[in-house]
Amino acid sequence: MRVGIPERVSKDAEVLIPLDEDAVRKAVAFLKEEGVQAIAVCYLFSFIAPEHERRTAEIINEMAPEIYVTLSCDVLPEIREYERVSTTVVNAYVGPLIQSYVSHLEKKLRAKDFVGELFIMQSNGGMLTAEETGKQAVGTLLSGPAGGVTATGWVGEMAGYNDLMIVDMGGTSYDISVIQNLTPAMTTESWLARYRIALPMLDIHTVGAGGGSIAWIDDGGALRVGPESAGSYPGPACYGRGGTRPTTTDVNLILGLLNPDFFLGGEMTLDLEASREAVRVHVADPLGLSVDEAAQAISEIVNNNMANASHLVTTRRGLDPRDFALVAAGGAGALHAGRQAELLGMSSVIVPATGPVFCALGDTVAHLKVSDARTYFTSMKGIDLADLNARFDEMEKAARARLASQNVTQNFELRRSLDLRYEGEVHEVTVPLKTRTRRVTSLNIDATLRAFHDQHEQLFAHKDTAHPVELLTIRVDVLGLREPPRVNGADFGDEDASGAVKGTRPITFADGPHEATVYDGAKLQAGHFLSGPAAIESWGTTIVVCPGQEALIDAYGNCIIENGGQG
Amino acid sequence: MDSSDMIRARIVGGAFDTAAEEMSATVTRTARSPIFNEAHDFTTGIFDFQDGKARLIAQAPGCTLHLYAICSAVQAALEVFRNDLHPGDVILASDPFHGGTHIPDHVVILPVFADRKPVFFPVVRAHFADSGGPVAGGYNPASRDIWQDGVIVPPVKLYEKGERRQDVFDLVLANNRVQDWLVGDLDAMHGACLTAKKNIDRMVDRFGLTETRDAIEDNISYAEKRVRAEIESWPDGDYYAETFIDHDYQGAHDIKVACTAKVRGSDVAFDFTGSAPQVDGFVNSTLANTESFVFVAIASCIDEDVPVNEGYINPVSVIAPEGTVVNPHNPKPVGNCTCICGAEIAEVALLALSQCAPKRVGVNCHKLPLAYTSGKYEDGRPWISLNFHGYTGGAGAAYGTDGWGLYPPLMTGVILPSIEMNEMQYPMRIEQHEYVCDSAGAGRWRGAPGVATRIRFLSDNITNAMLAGVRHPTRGFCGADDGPPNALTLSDEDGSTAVTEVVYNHRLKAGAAIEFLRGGGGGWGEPVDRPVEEVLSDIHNKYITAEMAAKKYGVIADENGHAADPEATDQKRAEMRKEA
Repeated sequence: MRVGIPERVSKDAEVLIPLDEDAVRKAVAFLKEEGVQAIAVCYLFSFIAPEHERRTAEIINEMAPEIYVTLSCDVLPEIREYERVSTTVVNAYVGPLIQSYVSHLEKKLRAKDFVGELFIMQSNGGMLTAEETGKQAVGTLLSGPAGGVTATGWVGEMAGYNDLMIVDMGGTSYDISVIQNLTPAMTTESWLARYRIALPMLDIHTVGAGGGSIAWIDDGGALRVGPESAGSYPGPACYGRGGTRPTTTDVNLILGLLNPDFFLGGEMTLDLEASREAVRVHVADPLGLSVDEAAQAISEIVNNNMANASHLVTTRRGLDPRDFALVAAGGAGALHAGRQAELLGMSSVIVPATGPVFCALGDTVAHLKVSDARTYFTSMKGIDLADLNARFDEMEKAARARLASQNVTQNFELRRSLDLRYEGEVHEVTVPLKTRTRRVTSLNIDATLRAFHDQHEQLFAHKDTAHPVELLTIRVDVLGLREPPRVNGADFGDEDASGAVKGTRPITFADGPHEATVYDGAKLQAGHFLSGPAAIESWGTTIVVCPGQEALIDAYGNCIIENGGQG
Repeated sequence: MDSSDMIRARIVGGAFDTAAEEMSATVTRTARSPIFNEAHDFTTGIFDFQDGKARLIAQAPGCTLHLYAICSAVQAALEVFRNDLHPGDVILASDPFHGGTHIPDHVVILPVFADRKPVFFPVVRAHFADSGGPVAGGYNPASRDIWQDGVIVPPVKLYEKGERRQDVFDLVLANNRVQDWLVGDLDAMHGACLTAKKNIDRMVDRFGLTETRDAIEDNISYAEKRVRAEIESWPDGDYYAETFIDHDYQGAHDIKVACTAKVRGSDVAFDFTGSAPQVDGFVNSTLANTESFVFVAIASCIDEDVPVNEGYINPVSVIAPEGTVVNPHNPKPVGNCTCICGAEIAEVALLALSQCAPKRVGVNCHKLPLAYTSGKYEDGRPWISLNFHGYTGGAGAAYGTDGWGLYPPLMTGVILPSIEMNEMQYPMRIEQHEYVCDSAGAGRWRGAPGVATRIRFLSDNITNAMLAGVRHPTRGFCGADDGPPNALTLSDEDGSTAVTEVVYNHRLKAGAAIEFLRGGGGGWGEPVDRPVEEVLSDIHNKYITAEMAAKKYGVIADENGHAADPEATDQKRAEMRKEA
């Protein structure tokens, strides 16, 4: 439900029409009667003149203290009303739920003698306290895969790579994101279903290709995979939970990538015959193929869908996938990563030692982080540095207050950036403001402008150093640095991995069947080297090394697969 | 086609689709003018050339208007240069009477060679921010012939063997008001084609040329099979419909657009015999534009997962008699054809199809109350505002869905500028921009509500307004109501003037305002069949009043839409059904 309130502020913060408080009271009375649980308030230009929104919140609190109120000037104090309204509405929708969930969780933890501090992963890749999370609940949406991206940065750095493409394959989806020079790609252009969320988030592209994606024949007789998924219930046919339609996981079982007797370390036995039957009935027979041929066809279609999506993710940013190392996460990621590297022409694949719980690892290595942004619309020529510094100081203070938790971190890091564009342009580029001093100087501004021109050229293929540049938004990230978990690298031992060999089994690759060596992942150690075709079986994940590829276990237990670079 | 061919076709098809999408991403990323990178008024595709025919292989989702128009433009350009192509050539063209629509929509084509022959042709078609002519931006309601629409660009080589032809480049630039943007936009279009070339080379390497072409054949026949299966499900017959253009902005009124959809097995022909003769004003539609809007209508009737390629087009033909408003003689003006009469062409095709495939039609829209305003900032720099907010709303319903809330489907690629940003950049205030209660065409599924917008200008300016959908508003389907008409009012201290047709170079003083009323969308199906809960929800959301619910839907409810009186509702609906 939405109610219009008479009021208007100009772009210069001049009150053109005062807030109609009677209209607010009437609206609150109406909404209360309608039984609403949360109210989002958004007026035009509230990012420079929040008074009307604040007064409205006071009235709501007086009249209906039980209603969750959220103001656009708090959630996203930035220009562009649609983004602000939408983000604030989503916050109002999830706020009451997440607030009660988090406080319930904390209560339960305390009851079980938890004495630490509860932090919640945010979609910007940082952590926040439970209390702050409740206030700005919208910041937690899509935060699940965020952990994976954060973890990738950490693992990639240890493994010696700075430019990484992370792919996370679960039951229903395949998430793709990139990290350049150890910095994850961020976006303020996220959508959740029909709702725009304009907070800075890690940029994660999702396609409907997971282990549970169903293979089917369409009206025109073409073989398709997904987007429909069998999920985890009933799940793939081989789970034996009543699923009868063939999924990617069934195909991986038929082709020998998965071991029916060693799924989840043997905790679950997969029903190979059920997989074969599902593929036979739904794909092989209608197409006049053998079950093995059909399985291989499904596998190639899945792999090509994933590779096409990954290619597009890099091209959109003006990047080339061949310049990245591929990090495979998620339960099913490592089954496909070798083939992905072949299709994308990437030379290295990293399978982190902690594969299937990769996202959770991210939560343990992430720093605390508060992101704040304010619209500050001005020409960069003759920018008022005293004013800019005052605004940054104020934002930093507010952000540090929100971080609050002094127990976990002693060190704070301040990162500032400017959203800049050429005059007349409609989209901005976020440019880091690099300073050694707390105060921003005119030299810093000049350097930032130079960086803007270069960044503009990298993103948009042109720059114009003579064109006037305007500032739109100033941004602050305050990080509460946490001590990263200490991981000691093991010394490299002998190259010979034969001690870990469990046996061999036939695996069908893109070029046909091979007899692959099967390794026990638990027995592999730093320095062990092996050649494809091979499968490495560990609890919860199987790494498949394609023919012609080589794999090495690094000092931290990560498996690094080298691909010839053929795409 | 055996199964292994089909599987190869899927994989090659996916790779071509991705290549077309990457072209689109490259244009968005590297273009200069907002109409490219913000409004996304372009489309990208990849063609081949077989037996003298340019065939669409793959296309990225883009601005619907360009969907088919791109094909005829490529055909015309390749007919000129088919025996004179070299690696590194780039062709530019926009010629309304040789495969074009209106002049602003230009194509850039790059031949990709394999085995020393030009085999594939990545193409970008895009709306230039300016294209010369008497009026900046390309819409001249006073145009009397094609030369008053803008500067025609017959197919020319912009690059030859990799070298820029500076003479041609300079000629194109010299006739353009926004040269900086144009240089950037041409580079973006060229760059997108080069991105595609890289991907195509990779594909030919990976799959082999013969195999790639075989896979393309298979994909084309696959799409054709899917489209034919849909058409086959429609009963054979001739289905006639007519609709009317309000006027041609120069005094001719109620211009008829007539269409008979002739369904024969899995073929359908759209015969526009009976349409009005060509008119003097710029609403005539070139043949390519007419075909394009028929295609827009057809595309809305086909499952969205069917790949858009030549096979999609094969079962559909268009008959448009020469000298009519849907296929005028050179040099009649056609500058507004991508709005009017494109809107009427799509509308009449859908009205015809509603008689044989009722559940497939809908999403009718695109009759806009256009008004452009220009003026000068205090420092003397010029500004032009397209007043986009005034055009929003008005989407029609389709089977299974109410009309969408903001832009109608033909403009779904377009991003509405922010009100706050607008007020920062232009001397204007958007005082009103909201849904109008009781303004949605009623139906089992209703149209989107109309939108009222008031823009007040803080400085003197010049405004051009071109109305459509006033005399003949957006039609509903299958027993639903039409959408209410558009309206536009100019108001200043001397009072208000309603504009029903056109104002040309009208001076507005500081403090004056334009008030737009974008009429709501038409509905689909009988309003009395709309479930009571949905009517209640519309009352609750203030899309309609309780009075309207009773009058149009036969639902008797309280003013907040909390509950309906079941007996009174049943009785009222029974009466309404009897009357019908």
